[in-house]
Amino acid sequence: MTFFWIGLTVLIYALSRRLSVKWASPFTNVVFLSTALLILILLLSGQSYDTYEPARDVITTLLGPATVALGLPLYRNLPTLLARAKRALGAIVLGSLSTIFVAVLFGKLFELTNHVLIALSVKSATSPIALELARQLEGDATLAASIAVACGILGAMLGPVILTAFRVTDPFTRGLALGTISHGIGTAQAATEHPLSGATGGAAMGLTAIFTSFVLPFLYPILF
Amino acid sequence: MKLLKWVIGLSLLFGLSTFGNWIVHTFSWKVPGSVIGMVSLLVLLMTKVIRVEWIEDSAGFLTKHLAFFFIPIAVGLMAYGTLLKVAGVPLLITLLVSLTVGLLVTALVSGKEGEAS
Repeated sequence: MTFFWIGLTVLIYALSRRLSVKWASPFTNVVFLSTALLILILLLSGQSYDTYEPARDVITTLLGPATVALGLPLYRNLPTLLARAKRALGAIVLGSLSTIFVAVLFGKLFELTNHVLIALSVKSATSPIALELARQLEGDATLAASIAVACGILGAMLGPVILTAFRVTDPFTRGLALGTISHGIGTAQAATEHPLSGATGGAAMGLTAIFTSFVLPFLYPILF
Repeated sequence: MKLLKWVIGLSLLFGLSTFGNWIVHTFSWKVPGSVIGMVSLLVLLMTKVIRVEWIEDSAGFLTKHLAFFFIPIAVGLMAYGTLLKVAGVPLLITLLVSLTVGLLVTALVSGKEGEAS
């Protein structure tokens, strides 16, 4: 059965990719569309996530090497990255801080539970880091990882539209913003737009993860 | 020749990913192992220990389809149906606003090509 679910995931991915090329829109975003279809199939066939877990384990083994592969666009675009390094670093720091503060502020206004607030504060770090940080802050680790994933999908769906609406056309900056706010899933989206965006996205994703895990323990007394 | 390149490329990427995980685990760093692997690959390419030709096919393929590898993790969201029923709308608004602010702040500071760094 594991092979069946892996095969189905590949098939649905290929289909979603075609649709996303043909009709580019937030709702044809590859991760969003594929995920929605798979959840629908699981629910309609009366299965729980447990059924899908073995397939997940196999596919996510390749997530590590696929992320490592971003080192190649990083290498190819290194001169551009270094030329703009100062502003890029400032952008990553201020971008991460602003998204953390706004998320916790709104979460408090809506009186969301403490576990959700902690999850919101770590959402822009990539999900394994979000999971680890939430555990340290005595939050709910799996919830934090899931909110990080949701943040990644939303960013990949709407980020390009938002950036275009505000006339952000520079591939360097688009990748940087998507990687900072929506980690790997945002970077995957950025990589489809432009190789340079993939490179800045990958760099931003890594640096945001490092920055967030470093700064959050200090922010915690201010935020909560 | 093509196949050999794929085998070498994938082995290197797997190896570096494993190496990254090992480093993170051994020194209990709070960075994903894959990010350490990514930086290691960059360093090895800069020092010409690894040649671009060895990995360009496999690395190009994997980054092109990076989104695919996130799908199974995203399917895990189906377990949070109840949370969405309880706090779905406030949570969505919070995520959307913080997302927009974060993206725009990042873009504003990063600036356009050609602006002084």
